[in-house]
Amino acid sequence: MGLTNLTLFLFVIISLTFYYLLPRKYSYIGLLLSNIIFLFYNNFSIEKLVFVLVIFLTSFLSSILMVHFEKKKKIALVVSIFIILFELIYLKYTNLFLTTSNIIFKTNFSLIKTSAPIGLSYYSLMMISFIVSSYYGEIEEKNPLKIGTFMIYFPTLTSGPLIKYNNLKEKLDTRVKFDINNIFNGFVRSLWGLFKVLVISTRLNLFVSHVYANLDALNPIIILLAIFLYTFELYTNFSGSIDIIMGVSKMFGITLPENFKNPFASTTITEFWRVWHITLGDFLRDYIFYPLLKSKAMQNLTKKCKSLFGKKGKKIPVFISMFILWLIIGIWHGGEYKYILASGILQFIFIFIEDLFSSVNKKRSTIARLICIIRTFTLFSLSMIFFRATNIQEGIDILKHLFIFNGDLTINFITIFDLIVILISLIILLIVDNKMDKVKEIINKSKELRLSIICTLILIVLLFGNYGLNFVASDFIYGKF
Amino acid sequence: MKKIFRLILIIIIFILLFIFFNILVKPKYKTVLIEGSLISDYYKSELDHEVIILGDCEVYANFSPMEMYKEKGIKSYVRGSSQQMLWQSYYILKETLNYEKPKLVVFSVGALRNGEDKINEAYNRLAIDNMKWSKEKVDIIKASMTDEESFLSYVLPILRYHERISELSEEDINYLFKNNTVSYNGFIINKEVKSLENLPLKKKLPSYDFSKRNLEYLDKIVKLCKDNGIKLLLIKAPSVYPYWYEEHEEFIKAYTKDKEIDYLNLLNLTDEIGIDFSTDTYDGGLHLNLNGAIKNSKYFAAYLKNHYELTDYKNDPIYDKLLENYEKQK
Repeated sequence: MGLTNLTLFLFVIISLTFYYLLPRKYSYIGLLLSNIIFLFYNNFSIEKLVFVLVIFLTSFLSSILMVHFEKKKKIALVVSIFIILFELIYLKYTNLFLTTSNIIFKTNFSLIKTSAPIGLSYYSLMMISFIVSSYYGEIEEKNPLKIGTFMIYFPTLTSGPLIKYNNLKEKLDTRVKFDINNIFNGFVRSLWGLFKVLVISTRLNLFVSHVYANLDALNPIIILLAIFLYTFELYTNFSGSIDIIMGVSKMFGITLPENFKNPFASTTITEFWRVWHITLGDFLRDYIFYPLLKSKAMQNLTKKCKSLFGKKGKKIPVFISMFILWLIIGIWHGGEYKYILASGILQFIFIFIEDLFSSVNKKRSTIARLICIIRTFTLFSLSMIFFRATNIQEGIDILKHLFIFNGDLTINFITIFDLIVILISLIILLIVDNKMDKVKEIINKSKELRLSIICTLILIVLLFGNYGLNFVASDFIYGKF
Repeated sequence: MKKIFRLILIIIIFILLFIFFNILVKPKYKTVLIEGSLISDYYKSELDHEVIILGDCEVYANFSPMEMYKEKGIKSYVRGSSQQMLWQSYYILKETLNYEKPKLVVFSVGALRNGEDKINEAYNRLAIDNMKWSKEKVDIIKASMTDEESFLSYVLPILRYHERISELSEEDINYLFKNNTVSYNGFIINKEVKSLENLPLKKKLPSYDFSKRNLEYLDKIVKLCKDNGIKLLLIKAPSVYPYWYEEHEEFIKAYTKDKEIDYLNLLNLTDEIGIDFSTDTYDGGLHLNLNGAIKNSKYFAAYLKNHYELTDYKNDPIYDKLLENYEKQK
């Protein structure tokens, strides 16, 4: 059941009906039922059910143990996180280890076939945060049904965002009263997401896919254009799916944390990653980066570096921790080296260099700011070459083609109509992104405007969206994780 | 109060725009692929036909109701469509009975050769898109839909044809609200000549059996006619290719004998009909052109008059007018 599937629309209507018909204290049971149905509808199997139950039971039992056996809290914490990470690594990264072993140690391991349940990369981290919060006494949940509802909350299974238990707790305890504004506002948000995915992202995919498949015949300017457009494709695909998810969740009266905040206005890569995939960044910062930095080993290293290199020496452990953090971010994106490079190591290098020259970046004129925005966008786009490529070698090959002066500037593989739709849509997207708060304010003020926007978006998506027969809606890029 | 009116107005505008775009993007089938208009042309005709002819292109190319009227005063209609599958013939006949009760139904057995592998979304659309909504249309969609199709896309054309927004033509604008007929009682005039020359080798087939599903619907057509007191005549149209095998012929003969229904093989009578495949076909023998259809229709009209109690409607003012228009196009 993809996020752009009509079946999802019907499923949401039915789920909402049950959710609001049930008494407010027990609505979460209706939601749990919807979550289970969603899970089973998406190529589920007994094997996958076992994997889901392992994480659920581990989290539930450890949270109970932590309440009843204070002294054994730490053991419960370590063991439960170990089990969850073991399952995540086994299902998603076994082949990475086998490939690495074959390359480095010349072993001859065959790759195994594993089948991860939908949402594994998201709810495994969510349950780790649940266990850690239980450990610190921030939450004390004994109801397994509520824990289960949180874990497999269906809107977040395909593409996140990564939510904490406290994002949902209040609404699980007592459902919000039915408010038609939640339905309408949620619907607007979902339609906006559909616009991004079906009208922009899928259309950009036509352009980008053709260029990547025909590098030898194309001019480097067109290749560069495709590289930049891929960034927009990635953004509209991912953020669009998030908008649909946020919209659906809003209809249930549940506001999820934002995952994107106008990333293309960022003047540095550091700033970019504060507003791109925000919840992943927050999670890894809170549960990897800060604990690492505060660890005894890093504290000792800080002291040693300070004594050897003075004040500036303090930064060495920070950068080491940051490197580990970015390595993990890269690995999280997929069990392949291209992801580790594209969304891990390269991002670290950019941030490291930015930090070295950070004093230079403090005050900027408008033109300087614009240059920084273009620079940030370019750097990110170049790193995404490897994200899009089949492997690192192909990524290098694409980069090489930027210096082979072949072909002319004719673009005859996409219609003028599609190009115009892309151009106008991107302009609308950038304006709305830039003025999102204002847009939300206006929509909330005027019911007529909100209804007009709903009607307009429906017509635009129906007329200009790429969907239906002879068109396969592109997989959500982040749904693979 | 003012707010509610404004909201209602916005909804009305949306509904109107929605309907407009559904009509705009749907193919009109008036100048290009006119076969798509065949089924809908029926609704504009005088619904008093004594003979209804069902089948695929072997009927709408080969049988001219206007010639049959001119020759013997027979009022008939060809409810054919491109690659009309057996279940489509059945439901189209069922739908026809909602409007009128003919004395005779003629069914072209050439369609029996269309197996499951011939099921095709494009041909489904040509047959179904312009059918009026009825229980039969719901049934025909369910029976015809491929796995990739959705029922909703038949209800809302925008879901299927939205991509046409980038390739709208003059036809889409000119025929936005215009709905003239393209056929002459279901017959399409084609005056081109391409003589029969080299046909592909007549190969041995792995099986000469008609599909189970086709036979199931043929039985349903037979029963439907019987239950409604309508005579049924199965025919093989005079189209040389695709080949009509001896095994097929034997099957139909045995079938019609068993069911006590009539059968006429016009392909075996092309000499008698006077068909000359060097001048009377527009695609090398697959279909007759206007010349060939005139000869075939005259012969067929005479056959029907001799074998069935059909009324002579000559000098009917409405049909005379139709004939006048038809003659102008010839």
